[in-house]
Amino acid sequence: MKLHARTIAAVALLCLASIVVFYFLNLGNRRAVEARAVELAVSEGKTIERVLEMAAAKLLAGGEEPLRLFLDGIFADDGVIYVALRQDGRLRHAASKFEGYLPLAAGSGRVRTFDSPMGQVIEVSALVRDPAGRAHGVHIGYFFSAVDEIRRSARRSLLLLTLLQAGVVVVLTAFLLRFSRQMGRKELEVRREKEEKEKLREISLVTAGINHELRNPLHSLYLSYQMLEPRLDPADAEAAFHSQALKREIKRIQDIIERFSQLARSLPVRRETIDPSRFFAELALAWKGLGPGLEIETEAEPGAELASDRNLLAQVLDNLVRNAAEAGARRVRVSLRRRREGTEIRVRDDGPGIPAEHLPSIFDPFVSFKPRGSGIGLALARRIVSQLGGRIEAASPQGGGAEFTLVLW
Amino acid sequence: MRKLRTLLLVSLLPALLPAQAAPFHYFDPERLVDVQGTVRRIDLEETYGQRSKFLILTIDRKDEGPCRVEICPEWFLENDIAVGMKVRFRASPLAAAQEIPYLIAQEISIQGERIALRDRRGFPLWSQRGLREGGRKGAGRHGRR
Repeated sequence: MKLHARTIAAVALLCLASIVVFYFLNLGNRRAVEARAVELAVSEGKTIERVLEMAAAKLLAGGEEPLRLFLDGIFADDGVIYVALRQDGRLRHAASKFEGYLPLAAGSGRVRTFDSPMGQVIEVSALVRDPAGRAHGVHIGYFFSAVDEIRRSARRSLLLLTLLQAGVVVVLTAFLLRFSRQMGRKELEVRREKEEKEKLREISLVTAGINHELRNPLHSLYLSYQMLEPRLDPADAEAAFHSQALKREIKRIQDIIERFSQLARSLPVRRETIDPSRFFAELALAWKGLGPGLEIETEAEPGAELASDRNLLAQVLDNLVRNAAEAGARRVRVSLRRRREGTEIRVRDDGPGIPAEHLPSIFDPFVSFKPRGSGIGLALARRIVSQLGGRIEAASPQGGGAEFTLVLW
Repeated sequence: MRKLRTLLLVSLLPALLPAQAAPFHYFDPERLVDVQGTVRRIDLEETYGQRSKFLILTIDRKDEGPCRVEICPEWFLENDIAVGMKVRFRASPLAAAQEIPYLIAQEISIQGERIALRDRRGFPLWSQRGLREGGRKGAGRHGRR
């Protein structure tokens, strides 16, 4: 199941939209909490106002001075910012914790709140009359720190929640993208495998037909040849030449039929521990007669060990080296390294290389870019590597030549 | 709030004792005027007790005669102010009678730079910074606009 890019984009957009909605819901909630806190403060302020009114009225009965002292006593509290006493709008007495700061309301007898750089301020004002009937305004301003704490806490929560959500969206989108990519790769692999199986099924049918139709006549042909061979005149050089050619071609056809069969049927794997240095030395001996002037170099990482089927692996490497020789390479290097994902064997030659357009189909059965190639060799090599548990890749590296990389897990 | 209510009741006790009234001048946000002129004199005075020395400028105005303008604690303003310099203010004049008019500045413009000293209700911006920085005194960058 591969997720379409548009689906991922839609999910990401949906997540982002949810963040925005969540943010605004939270913002609304934060404002409601703040407003409620201010309401509570005002409600408390009204109670204070009533107490202040009663106290001020009582004190004013004894003159203005007791009321001033009363206000100075209140001013001593840390939370109180300013106190003031006005008579008929004129300031009679005041004190402020901040130089000259006395933001008095125009009238008296109400509770009001306002912002200051240091936080929310609440002013309680009481309007009282002295025995002579003169109006006195008493003002007390104080910080309502609880509102600021609520505000700060709500802001922090909102920020944290938004960041958390954004983080979740980023992680989720990244996960979806990765999942989609993995699924895409898997889907491709499954499709390729399916196509290959389909091809192999067709090959099996063809091979079965070839086996059935050709093997017996070919066997008869070979028997006939064996009967004819002793009757040939040993002095007749031309007859001897044709006889050898006939024998060679019969062998070639038998070999082709055998390889067809191998391509179609499941190969039994006999795994054993292989010492790469020794294994390469044995192969090098077999490759000695491949061509005049062909230099084959082998190298194995010291201490490296390999658990695989010796004969099948030898068949793959032999095929690759012979291909290089046939392509006209003068130098072939076979090397083995341990990698994190398994053992890597590279076969690199200095031949003409593989054109880029041939690389995607070079391992396909019956696809050959050689004049007399059957298209079975590399297809069989990939099948063997797959059965051994690994993969094979071809490349035309910079600097010329071809390079085949086998990774055995 | 309960604390304040208790405080209101407790404060009734000292109210019975005699005490002296102290003169108080304050920034009135309802009465703001624009002033411009030339600095005639620079003084440092303990306007609000011994907390900090305040910068007080005597300004020669063109048509209205001289006035005194209270700026801020001397540590808050880092700009150089010299006699003869042209300055502009937005300030609140004191209602109380003085020899020459006395104003409390909300913002000052010196050599084209406008520096806020108090917020729109007169809260002194140096107090905010002073408290935030644990009372550390220094250059008055905070008040700039």
